[in-house]
Amino acid sequence: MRFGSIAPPYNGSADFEDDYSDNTDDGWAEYSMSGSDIVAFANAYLANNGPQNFNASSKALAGDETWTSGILIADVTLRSSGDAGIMTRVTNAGHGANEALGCYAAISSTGKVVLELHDGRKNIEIASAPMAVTIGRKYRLKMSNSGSTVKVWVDGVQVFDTVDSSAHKRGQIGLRTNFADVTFDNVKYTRTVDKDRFVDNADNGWKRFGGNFSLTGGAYYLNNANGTGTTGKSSW
Amino acid sequence: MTLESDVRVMSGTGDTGLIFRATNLGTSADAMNGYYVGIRDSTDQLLLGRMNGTWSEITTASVPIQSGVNYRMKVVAAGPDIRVYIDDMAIPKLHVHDATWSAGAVGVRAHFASAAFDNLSITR
Repeated sequence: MRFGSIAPPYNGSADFEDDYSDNTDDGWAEYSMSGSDIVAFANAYLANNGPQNFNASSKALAGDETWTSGILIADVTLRSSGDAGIMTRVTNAGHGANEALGCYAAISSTGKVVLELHDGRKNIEIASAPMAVTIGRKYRLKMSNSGSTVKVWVDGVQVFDTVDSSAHKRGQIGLRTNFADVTFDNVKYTRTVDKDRFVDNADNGWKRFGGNFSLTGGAYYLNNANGTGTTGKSSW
Repeated sequence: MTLESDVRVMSGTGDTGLIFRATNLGTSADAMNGYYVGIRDSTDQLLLGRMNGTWSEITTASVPIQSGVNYRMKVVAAGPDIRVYIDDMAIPKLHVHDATWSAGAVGVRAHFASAAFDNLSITR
């Protein structure tokens, strides 16, 4: 059992992964300015917002609004000019280009990597770095949220370090395009914070070794004995 | 990896605290590979050690510990760099380099003591 399934209750699974090998968009909710312009096809996820399509922007969100800290990775390939990228801590999403709160890390065909904070009305660029972006080439974007900071990598190279993102504390993960035709693939989100406040008076996800355990009043007790309780994975 | 929890010694002469990078656990007291950091009210100590079936103390610090009081304990382990904080989250009470164990589960432990734990969080 995953530790993430203990408490508090989560609506989604602890982590999220999609390589679109089933050619479906199960698990995703799409927000787009003109109908269904995001489709799972040929083992990838295609968004068609290029200049010729007049769609401007779309988003696809997955996961749980309670997610706080984690690492999101996705392959992003621009198939036209424009920008596209990955989102974290997304809440209050709507169909418009500015209609969501959250963090957005993107590559742009103008030759840069950007980090934006979206407040639901404006998309505020808080970091930018020049980078040659080739249309048709796949880039692996990675964004890590931990507490109030966000970090961004492209193809394993860190671009932005510990940028303050305290305006956005939790939310879903997402993919977003802006005036671009884009292919997304190999989306993977790993939550990095697990909590147990023992409010359910249960130690689901724990293993007991020796000792005399009890749970009462929302705390975990070890009574008059030698004992060890563990949780997590041997790879941690 | 950052591990945090409220730790409270209820009674007993021993110590209680958190384990990390734990593998090969068994039911007897030191039956694991990994690290343990504990507080002991009988000697007013914070102690850090490792197990490989037997206990090896790495270091200790003098910290006033009262039974029945919640202490916020935090372990920050990055490679061989291990820091332990009690209540003051700015300055570690213990800071060691030990490369014996690199990965494993986390948990709680009581050793000749009764103890309570709450509000546990893990950041990987």
